[in-house]
Amino acid sequence: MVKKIDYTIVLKGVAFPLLLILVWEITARLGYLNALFLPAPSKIGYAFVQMVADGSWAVNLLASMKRLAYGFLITVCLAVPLGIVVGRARSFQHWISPTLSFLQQIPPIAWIPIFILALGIYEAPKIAVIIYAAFFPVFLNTVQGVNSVDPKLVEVGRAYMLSSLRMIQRVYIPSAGMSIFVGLRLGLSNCWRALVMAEMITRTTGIGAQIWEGRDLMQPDRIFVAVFTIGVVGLIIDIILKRMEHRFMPWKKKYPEDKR
Amino acid sequence: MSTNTNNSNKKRNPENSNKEILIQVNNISKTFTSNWGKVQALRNLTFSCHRGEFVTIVGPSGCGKTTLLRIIAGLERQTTGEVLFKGSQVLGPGHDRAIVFQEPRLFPWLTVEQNIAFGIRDSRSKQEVESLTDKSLALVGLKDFRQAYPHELSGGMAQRVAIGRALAFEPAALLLDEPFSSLDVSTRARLQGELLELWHKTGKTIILVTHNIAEALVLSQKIIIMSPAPGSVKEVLAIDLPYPREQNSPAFQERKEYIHKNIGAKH
Ligand SMILES: Nc1ncnc2c1ncn2[C@@H]1O[C@H](COP(=O)(O)OP(=O)(O)OP(=O)(O)O)[C@@H](O)[C@H]1O
Ligand SMILES: [Mg+2]
Repeated sequence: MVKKIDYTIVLKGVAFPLLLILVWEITARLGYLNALFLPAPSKIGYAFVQMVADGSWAVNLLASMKRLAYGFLITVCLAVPLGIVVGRARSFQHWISPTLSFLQQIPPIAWIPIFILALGIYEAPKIAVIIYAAFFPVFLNTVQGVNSVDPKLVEVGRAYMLSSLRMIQRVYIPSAGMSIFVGLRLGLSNCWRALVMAEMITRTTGIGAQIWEGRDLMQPDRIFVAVFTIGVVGLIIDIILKRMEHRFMPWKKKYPEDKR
Repeated sequence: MSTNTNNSNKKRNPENSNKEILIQVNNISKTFTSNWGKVQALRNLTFSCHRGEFVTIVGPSGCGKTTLLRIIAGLERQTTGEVLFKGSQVLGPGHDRAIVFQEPRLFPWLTVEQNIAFGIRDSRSKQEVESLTDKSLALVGLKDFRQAYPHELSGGMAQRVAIGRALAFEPAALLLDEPFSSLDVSTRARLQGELLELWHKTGKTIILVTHNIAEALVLSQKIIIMSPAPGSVKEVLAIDLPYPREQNSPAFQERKEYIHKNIGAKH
């Protein structure tokens, strides 16, 4: 059961930004736009080709992706098992949930100065920010997933005499799986955004650092290349994760897409 | 309050009188204790069911039918009294009984055939699981939908999967809690026919709870009428009409009216 792609929808989704770019290009050529902060798309494209040629684009992108991978992996290893444990121990939730709500209100970027003071400006503070950004959605969705396992389905397991280990394997994990996956998706997009902020502040390497570099050198076309790269990478990550979701959870495809 | 002075073992059906008793419910009572107080759901309830018999339980809403079925299934523990299955006490769920709940309770992440195999996949060999699943699929008429997921099924099909899952478990007794109550009239009639056919084919013992008196009359050899809460056995009625039952026949109508009167009486 493969999900069929509706090409007319894809076409519409691609046509709209192309149209915008076209309008942008025309107005830029007619001289209506200030090239200091709104260069023509063709100029941005040229900058992109240059940055690919001199290798700076790939180097920065790779640096960011590496951090993303490490940070996200560490978060998953921490947040998922912790979420399963806490999800099953309900009384423990009363202890920690106000604290979690408090921490959740603080955006990751607010911690960056502290992380820099504590961990320097290189890899550690950036990874720390990523972990902080992704931890809550992954952890909370795991807890919620384990919490919201339908007791009626657990009872089916009991009626068919499943052992407690089988019960976890056959009922709890698949039930919570959907919720965990939603957490992973949210967590990863949070990670990506937080990472860019951290890179902009620490200004070493990465896509975020490249944005500031463009400003310092008064090269708005380079800024736009970096900004668009951030958007496109985020988009690709989300598409891949959605595809994975359909693949691992084919029963979910009938449900309406979650709106965020 | 009606006192339960009925002898529920009164046998009006000679066909079953020489058969082995499979399920014996002895004087059970059940009181639920919750935060806001105690609720007595069942009181001194006694009846029995023979091997291969089709029994239905009818009674007003809240009289404890679901509770009774859950106790027989071993999912709930009675406060006093005992349930005997083939002479030994029921202490929990067992391989000899399978319950079909009022809702299908299918696992959304499993296909139809995986749902049907749910109760056996960890305890039987691969070949056994395959052949039992195939047999169940055929019995409930869902061979063409084996790869479908629950969200792709209609309500009636989902309920058939639930019945198939119970059948694959190979229980001696099938316990059904208002399995057709959420279906429209024609689907309901069709599934009733299918259930009867399945009963004839497999010879299983079936206890079915229903609100619907016509349903009880169409299906069963014995109707247990329960009194309002706290539930006890008000009357046990043997239905000796031949199958398939003609709903318009005077004999059918007469019994239907009798039960209606009986359920409505007092409180
Ligand atoms: N888990 C429970 N905790 C407390 N009270 C319960 C519980 N389950 C059932 N009861 C109570 O027991 C009584 C009988 O409930 P039960 O569900 O068995 O009735 P029923 O005959 O199946 O009703 P219906 O025909 O509406 O399905 C009700 O008063 C109900 O409130
Ligand atoms: Mg009920």
